[in-house]
Amino acid sequence: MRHASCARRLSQYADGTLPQEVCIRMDAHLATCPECRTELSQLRSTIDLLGSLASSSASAGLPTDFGEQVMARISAGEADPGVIGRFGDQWRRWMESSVGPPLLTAAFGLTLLVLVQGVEVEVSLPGFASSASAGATSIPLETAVSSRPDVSPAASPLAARRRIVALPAMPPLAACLRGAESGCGRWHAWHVGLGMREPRVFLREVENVPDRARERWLDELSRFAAHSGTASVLAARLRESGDPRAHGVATHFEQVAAIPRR
Amino acid sequence: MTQPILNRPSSLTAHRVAPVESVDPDLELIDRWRDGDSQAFEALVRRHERRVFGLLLRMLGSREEAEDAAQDTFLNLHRHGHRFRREARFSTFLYRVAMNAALNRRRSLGRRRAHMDALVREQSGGSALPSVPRGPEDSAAGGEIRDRVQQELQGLPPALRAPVVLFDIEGLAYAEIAEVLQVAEGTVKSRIHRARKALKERLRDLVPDEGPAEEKEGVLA
Ligand SMILES: [Zn+2]
Repeated sequence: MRHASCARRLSQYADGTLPQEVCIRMDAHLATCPECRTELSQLRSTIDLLGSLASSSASAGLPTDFGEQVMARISAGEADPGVIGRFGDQWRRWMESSVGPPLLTAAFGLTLLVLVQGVEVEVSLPGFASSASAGATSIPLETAVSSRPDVSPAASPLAARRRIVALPAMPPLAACLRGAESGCGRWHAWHVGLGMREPRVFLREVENVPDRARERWLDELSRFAAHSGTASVLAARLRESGDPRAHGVATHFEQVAAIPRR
Repeated sequence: MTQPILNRPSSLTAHRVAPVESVDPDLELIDRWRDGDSQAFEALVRRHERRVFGLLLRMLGSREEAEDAAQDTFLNLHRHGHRFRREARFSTFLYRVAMNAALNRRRSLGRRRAHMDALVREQSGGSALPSVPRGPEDSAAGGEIRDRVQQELQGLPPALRAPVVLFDIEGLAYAEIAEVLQVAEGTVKSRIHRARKALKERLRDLVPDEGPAEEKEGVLA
């Protein structure tokens, strides 16, 4: 084997991913070429240095409520792509198909209906056929899921087609409003989402918290919102509502959000 | 025998497996999520958050940025999850979303960030590091070396950094990396090689010039 073709394969040689006959020819060259031997040894040292990053506990810095933060941002609508984003892929495929254009008007009407109602439904159109598992692609619209986290989705008439799932244990809302220490993250996430969607309902909820507990609960919720990056958006949403109760609560969120992260 | 200056973690080779050979353990949760169960999505987040964070930390070099990019990853997953097709493994798809989050982050941070990185490097660079480490885990020197390797990794262009992180740190197979990065398998192999060669130069003081005396045996090992 020539020097150049050996040198080119040294990484794969070190990884043991080459066919045996290639390795044998490389062994023969390596036995006679100190340059390739040095290069191989240095590559191996480099690979070992990189490997030391794999063994260190990289995930140690991940906050324990990372998942709750993500869910709070999703509840707040941050993962909603809008019409184009949500339908973009199907739309393009569909338009490229032969059934697409004739059905355009009907599909557009149906899409509009869905968005105006703002409810979770599954849209099935023959032209959207792209997935092998079903004849037509299902498009779940989860934007309007506003059921409380402790209420089974089956309780909602709109959710007839959704699978009923066992809910994980979580403290009752009243306990969290009184300031229960743990497990209230899901309630916080839900309240943040509620505030984004229905500021007035949210403010009424705040009002309903017993006086003694309100400030502490609001503190906790604000910290949660600040931590998940939703506090300032939520505050703005509340102010927009024009509700007379909004100012005090919004200010609370803004003040907490001004505290630097961790 | 060639004695590597650092012992390679055995877990690395253990989990480098062919991507599609068993039932994807995530499919059940994905089905439930697509049926509208948001708790199934949260369970997916919890199952994968550590690995996604680890990958992003290696790609971006800062915990805070990795955490932000990890959040972006799962928000994007929620947004674009319908693009996932069963021919691929879910974890491969997720790696792809995470890698895109890392690359987008890099791009949007732009020059300001690059300037700050350069400042940090200037301040921490030039410090004398032990050239013969005994092992990565057992000493403070190990931590310093890891920091240094991470820093030099940051200096590679993303196109070279991504495949070498996925192969040498995350332990993915060539084929899976090709899928994550949407490039040919041959490209993955050559980029890994180029990345290692570039790193070898950057880490010159940590990589001995001469191999050990019993070179030939090492070669055959
Ligand atoms: Zn040679």
